[in-house]
Amino acid sequence: MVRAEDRTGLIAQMRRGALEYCVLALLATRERYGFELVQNLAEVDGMVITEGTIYPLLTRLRKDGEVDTFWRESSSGPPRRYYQITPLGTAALKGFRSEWTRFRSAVDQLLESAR
Amino acid sequence: MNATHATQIIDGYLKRLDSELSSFPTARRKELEAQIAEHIAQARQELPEETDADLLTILDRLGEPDEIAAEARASLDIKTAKPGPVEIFALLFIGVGSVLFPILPVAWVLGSGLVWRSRAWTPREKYFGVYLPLVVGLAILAISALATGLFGRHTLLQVAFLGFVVANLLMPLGTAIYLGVRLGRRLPVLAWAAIAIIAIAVYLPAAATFIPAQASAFIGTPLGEEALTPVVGQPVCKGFYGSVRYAGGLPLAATAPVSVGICWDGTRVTKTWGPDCYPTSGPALRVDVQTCTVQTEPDGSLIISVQSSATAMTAPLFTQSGGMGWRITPDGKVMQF
Repeated sequence: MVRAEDRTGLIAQMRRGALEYCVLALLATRERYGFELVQNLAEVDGMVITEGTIYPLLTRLRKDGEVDTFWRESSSGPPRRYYQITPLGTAALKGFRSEWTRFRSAVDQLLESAR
Repeated sequence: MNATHATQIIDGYLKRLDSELSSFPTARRKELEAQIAEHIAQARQELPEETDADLLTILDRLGEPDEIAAEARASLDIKTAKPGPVEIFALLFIGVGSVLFPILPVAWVLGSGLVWRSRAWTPREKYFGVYLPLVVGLAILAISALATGLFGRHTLLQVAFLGFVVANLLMPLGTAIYLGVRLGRRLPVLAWAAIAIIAIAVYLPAAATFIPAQASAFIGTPLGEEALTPVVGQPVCKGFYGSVRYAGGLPLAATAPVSVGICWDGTRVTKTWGPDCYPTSGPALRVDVQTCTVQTEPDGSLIISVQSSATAMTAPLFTQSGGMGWRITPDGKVMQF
């Protein structure tokens, strides 16, 4: 029982850790407003469980200087707060991308070889 | 077209979020609330024709406010707001005010209001530190008051008084200790010292009422003992000086003295003046004298009795009463009973 709980906790930790780079990756293609960003993340199965938890993450990324916000008029309603990636965020994403690729293939290799 | 209960549903959600974020620094709280409100507004724009169910789905996907708050606490490394004067006053009102003003739980309610407004306690702590004790305490008070009014018999009165003490003293005191422990080291040592000094100043007199009273008496002049053996037919006249001393031996001591002028000649004791009972209250205890009497016995001796009480100045519910009596025999001996 305890082992299973540990495992769900670990998955949650991994998801939380990876989530911020997924956000950066989405913002690397183009700037997005909050709801749009959340939608894009939610479209990928297993990435986001509660959408509201994205916002504290965005705030932290902004505080860390990896993301910027600006307002833009909307054609169908009030102005929207847009999020865009900064050079610092781009660098962080680049670093994570190479680390992640190595990590993922290492884990894959070991899991596959033991099958 | 807005959904039928759009305002209630969304306002209710944002209000719950606001209360979950109440211990966050204002800037963080406002930013997060604005983001969530914008998210809801943007999600609603995407709906072709919104219904209550659609809104509930949007909120459901956002997650429970406490989940969002927990995530924000973790990822933004939020510590609750630094406690200050408001928190100190809240603790004093609840923990000390209830002893000072025990008749109505005004201080307790005021203190609870301060706790409620404070950002130093989490919503969960506020629930256990404000809501729960207030509701339970006021319920006990109401039931006690009702029981007293309805029955008013001796035993029931004691039960009602017990309820009163629990609701008005123990509950706020426990609440204050709980809230104080939750603040712990976030409150500066100096603030804790100030709270401790005030608490001691209030509770020490209350504790003093638990020290047994001591009685003493002598015959002589106000300056000291000076008894004389009488010769039959030649009465001796002196003063009787007795006192009941509350919290004796402490700087808090207070006394209920009694003095009576007496003459005795070996066959009987007579009163020449008195009894004078002028209670002297101490810095912590107020002394009241209920009865102060002198009475001649058939065998010629004199009975002096004093019924008095000492009440803590800071805590009117804490009181000690004592009856004390002395018998002066015709040969000028004093016996305490």
